[in-house]
Amino acid sequence: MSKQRLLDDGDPYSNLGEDLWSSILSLLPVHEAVRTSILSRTWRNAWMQIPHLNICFITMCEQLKWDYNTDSEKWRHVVGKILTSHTGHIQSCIIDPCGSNTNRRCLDGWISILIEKSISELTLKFNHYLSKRSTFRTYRVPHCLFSCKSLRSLELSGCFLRAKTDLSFGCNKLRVMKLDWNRISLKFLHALLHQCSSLETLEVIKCSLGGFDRKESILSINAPHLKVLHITGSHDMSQNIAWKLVLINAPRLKRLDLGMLNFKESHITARELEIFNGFMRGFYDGQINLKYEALKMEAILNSIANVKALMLHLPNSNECLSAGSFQIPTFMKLKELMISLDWTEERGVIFLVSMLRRCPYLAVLILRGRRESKLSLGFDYWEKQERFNCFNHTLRRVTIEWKSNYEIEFAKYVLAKAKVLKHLTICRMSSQPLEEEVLASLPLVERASRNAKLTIRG
Amino acid sequence: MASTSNSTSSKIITLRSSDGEVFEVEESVALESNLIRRMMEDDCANNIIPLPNVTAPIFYLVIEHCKKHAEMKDNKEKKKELRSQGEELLKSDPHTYSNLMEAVNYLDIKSLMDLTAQWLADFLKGKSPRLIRELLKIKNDFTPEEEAEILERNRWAFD
Repeated sequence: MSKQRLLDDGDPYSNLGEDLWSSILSLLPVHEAVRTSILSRTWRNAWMQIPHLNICFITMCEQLKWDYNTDSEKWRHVVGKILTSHTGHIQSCIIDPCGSNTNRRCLDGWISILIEKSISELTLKFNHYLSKRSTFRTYRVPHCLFSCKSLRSLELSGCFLRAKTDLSFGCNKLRVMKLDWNRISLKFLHALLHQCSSLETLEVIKCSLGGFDRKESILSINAPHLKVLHITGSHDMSQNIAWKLVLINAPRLKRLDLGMLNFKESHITARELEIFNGFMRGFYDGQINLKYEALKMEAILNSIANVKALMLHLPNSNECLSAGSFQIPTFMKLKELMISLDWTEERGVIFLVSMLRRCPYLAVLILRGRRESKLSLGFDYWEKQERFNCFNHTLRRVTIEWKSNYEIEFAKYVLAKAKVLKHLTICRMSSQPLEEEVLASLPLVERASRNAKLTIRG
Repeated sequence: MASTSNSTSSKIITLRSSDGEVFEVEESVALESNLIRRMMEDDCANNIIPLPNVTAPIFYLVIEHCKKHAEMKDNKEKKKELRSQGEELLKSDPHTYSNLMEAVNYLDIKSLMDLTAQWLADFLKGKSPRLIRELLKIKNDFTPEEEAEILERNRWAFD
């Protein structure tokens, strides 16, 4: 009976309700969503409620077969129209004007409309290398955006962020901010970190940081509320910034990622830190050698001794790593360790040995070799080492990306000695022909753990 | 003793569709629905839960999809299978598909809602309004004047 009733209802999709429809329409390209207005009366205004907007000049040109060179103005007009006709709440919006000649005033206007519509997630992409005019490179994000109370997540690329003396952040719901290829003044960064108490995640990727003393080159970040901080490299039009000193004071920080950041010295105060990822590349002082002095390294390792997961990318010429010269702290809480190191010098291997001694509760170990080793560190080298504590009780998973036979020798040692090992994975990264006999000898090793599984990839 | 412990591990929930049919569903499957979850938290756990907005044939479909969805979590082939079944239904019987979506929405099953919406969007993608009307059996209730006005207003999208 009731099935019959439903079939008689005519247009069944009108019953789904506007909310549902607008979320379905936001999965379509914008122009296709707009086209549905012609279907029937129920559909007429449905597209004006779509919660997610993705407006990209290049994509729209491709989809509508527009000309990149001549239809820029048409696009601007259309975007303005879409934003002004929208009658609902815009939850998220991605604007990518790359390739068009959209001017600053126009962009400012769109941002104001989005603020009025209580935008909560905004992404502005100005990939400068795609745009004809350099204006995008320096698009100054209007300060009104930072007073937007509904904003929860903000992703900017190719923008210029600077702080006026009276800049105050009203975006008290902002949780996530990702900055990619922007120019940022340090003053802005400091104001942001101090005023936005709800900000939990900050990513600063390949940004050019301005407003600091170049002679001093001290990067000081005070983030009283932040939980995740990710700084990857610093890009500057004229030069790479090599920080002499990186100061991080973030009492609530859980995760710190300093990949690709060159610094000579750092002081990290983050008592709750759980995950640290560091590219220990050292300070570029004009020579090719990127030295990392042992004492500085010791200071960094000491300041993060409470982490649960540690990822270390060690310098190429393991120069700083002679184990005798500095003391590695004991990592009592460390469960996961990833080391990317150079096997060409014994120092790197000695560092690995010292780390394994200092991580009594290690459960997961990942080794990435960066250069093919010419060392002759055979199985007997490892046999000579005193037994590592974690091999007896906790080490369960080991992954080795190998480039040479010596890493396989280490793998054999792991199989022979790790008593609770569950899984050993060997990933072949070398381009050289497979040395079958070396690999073939691996499964023959008598395993200390009965449950150990061996996987060989590549 | 063994049988009691067995029955608690897979508790059965009883539900009644709008046309009076009674369903017995495993708790793990039923709890995918936020509506049923809320109802159970508000007590009616031992009684039959009524679902006044869902008919039996549609409810069968929902349960089937829920079970498959649970299975497909790490299984790419199952994922493809479920997807092609959804598309098949959408093509052959758009009415039932809309009823399925309505039921999933009413029962508040987030994962299935996302999937069915995505399938529908993929189905519509690249199709002309005329074809969409035909496929989804939508009646055009505009006057020619109204239609011309809509076309004119957003000409850019129709060119």
